[in-house]
Amino acid sequence: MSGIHLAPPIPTTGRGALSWSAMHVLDVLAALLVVGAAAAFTFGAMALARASDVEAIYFLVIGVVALRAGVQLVRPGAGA
Amino acid sequence: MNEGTGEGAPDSIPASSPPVSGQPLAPRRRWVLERVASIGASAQAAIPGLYAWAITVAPAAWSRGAPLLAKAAAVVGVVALVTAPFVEGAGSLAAPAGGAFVPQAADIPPNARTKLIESVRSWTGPTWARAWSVWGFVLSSALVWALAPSALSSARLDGVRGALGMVGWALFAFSSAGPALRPDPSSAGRIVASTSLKPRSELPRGDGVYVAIGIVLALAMQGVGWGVVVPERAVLVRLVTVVCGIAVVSGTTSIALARHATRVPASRRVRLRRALPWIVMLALVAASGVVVEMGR
Repeated sequence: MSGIHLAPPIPTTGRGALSWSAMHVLDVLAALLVVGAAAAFTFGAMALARASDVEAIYFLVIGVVALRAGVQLVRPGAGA
Repeated sequence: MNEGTGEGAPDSIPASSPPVSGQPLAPRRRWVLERVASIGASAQAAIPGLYAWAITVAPAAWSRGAPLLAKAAAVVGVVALVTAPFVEGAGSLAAPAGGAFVPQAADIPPNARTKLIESVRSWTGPTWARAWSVWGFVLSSALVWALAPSALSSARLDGVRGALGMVGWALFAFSSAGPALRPDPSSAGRIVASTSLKPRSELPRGDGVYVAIGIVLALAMQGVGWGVVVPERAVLVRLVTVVCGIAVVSGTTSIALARHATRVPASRRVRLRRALPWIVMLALVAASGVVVEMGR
């Protein structure tokens, strides 16, 4: 999270209006990915408790990838 | 928990002025703290101590196969907790102001044995009560657990009861280390009246919702796997759920912070390009799982 600088809310009208709505879509998508990652982690833990190791690893990998995708989606900075 | 910060606020501050640091506490809260402080530090610690004893020590001492010495040690622990307030009250006339524990030995050179003995002799009632309450209870409990180690095994100790026992011991340690004390009359001169402190920035709206959702998700994961019988696997499940919970909280926090970062119009394409490999990998892994499941 280093390199993130807090700034005022992005403009809702004018030049940035279109990108603002698009970014809201990305925010929602990122939130859904994080929630999906949490669900995958939960399924993985449940599989681990049942001693289904392969299934547990599968769900945990799904969770890690989904979480990583969600965070990458909202990372700030055009060139980062 | 130390009370008494509200003593002696300056009279020059009008009632309609903004909140001022060092103003008296609300009457109700002040009354409650004074009542708690009046029962003494040892009595405050005795309440959670008795709770912890009843949950973690007594079942071990009276478990099947526990020796008689364990029962005797458990009784000593209860006696230490119950009698400590009387010891404290017996020496209250010589107690230091505020009933606070003053480690007189800290000012004494380490090699001065005679001075150390004199320091121990000068201990007041609260000091003796604190030593008797803490060390008597802790050592007797340790002796019980050492004599009946099987009583604390995961097969015989209920998880919820063990967690509640930990809470009881934590409260005992907290109340022993920082009990509510009587107001210090000399604290009035140390209060500096000033206007209330203002934060340099406000917490952006909506961030708390993101963090709360992350915490709820992380806590929901902790409800998984409590019925695992094999200890090694149970520990592994707990470890995995804790790590996953931390990762989810970190992810939601990152998303919440990113909402306030400087954004440029072209960032949508850049972000999609940056996240695309991970999304493709996610789709591939999910699709492979579906294919494997259908092939069974």
